[in-house]
Amino acid sequence: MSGLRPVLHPRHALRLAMVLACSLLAPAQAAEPVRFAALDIWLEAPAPVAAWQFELRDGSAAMQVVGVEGGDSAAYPDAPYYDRDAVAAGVADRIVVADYSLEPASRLPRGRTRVATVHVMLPAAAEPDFQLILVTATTHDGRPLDAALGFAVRQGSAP
Amino acid sequence: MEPGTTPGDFDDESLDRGDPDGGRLPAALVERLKASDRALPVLTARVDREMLAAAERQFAGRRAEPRRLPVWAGLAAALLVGLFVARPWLEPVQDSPLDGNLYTDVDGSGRVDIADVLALARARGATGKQAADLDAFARRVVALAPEGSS
Repeated sequence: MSGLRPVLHPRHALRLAMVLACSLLAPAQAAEPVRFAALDIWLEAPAPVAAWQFELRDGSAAMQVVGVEGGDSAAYPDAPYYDRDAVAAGVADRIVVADYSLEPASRLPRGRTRVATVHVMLPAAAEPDFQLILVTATTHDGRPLDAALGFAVRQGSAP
Repeated sequence: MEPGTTPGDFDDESLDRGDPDGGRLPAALVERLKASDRALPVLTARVDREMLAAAERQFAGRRAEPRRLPVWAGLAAALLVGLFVARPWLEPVQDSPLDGNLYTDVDGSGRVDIADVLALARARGATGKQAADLDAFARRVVALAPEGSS
């Protein structure tokens, strides 16, 4: 039947196959192995803490914050404030976390307490340089506290 | 047509019955239409000229003259324009969050942080964190502005 012709020329078929092969291989090449870690942030204050705020950075710029959860104190029952939009968008290469409580001073945490846990994603081979900055810690009447801030890293597993 | 008959009595049904009189108007109605068919009054060219001349005589003393505003009115207008332009610089800055400018250094620490949210909540006598504007203030405090923008 002379009216029937091949739909795809062999030369074009070869090009198409090459494009498909490249598109299938490209994500595999771009996907860099990653690992996750959790940073428990603790605050140590000599008096009840009614408000606190810190900033976490990574000097190696490898960190991406993927979540923040609350701490141990019942005076702060909800998740702390942080930029949820930036975390959800995957652009939080640093994070500012803060919270305040209107509980009476007798119910506020004092001494050493975990105020938050920050979950981060890192390249598998990265050696992060975590930098934790205490922005403020105040008493219930607004007096600044001479508080100390620290963190402990819990290594997660690769996905 | 009987006395007292109105044109509304001659409906479409009576005209469509097919009787020989159905297509003719009643005589009374015809007489009334003829009576109202008078010639229209016509303004002649002479009347038109006389009216024009009368109007010109009437308004001869009312020649349009450019009105000049007094000097004081001009100065007042300039002052108003100046005040309108300078308004952004003349209005007092609202530093008090209770006056409406929420995102400010409430506790006077020199920066805006979560302690300001606490101070504002305390100033309002809040007992919980349900207030939407306080929540918005706290979220603004922790917002990640692009590097170098603040």
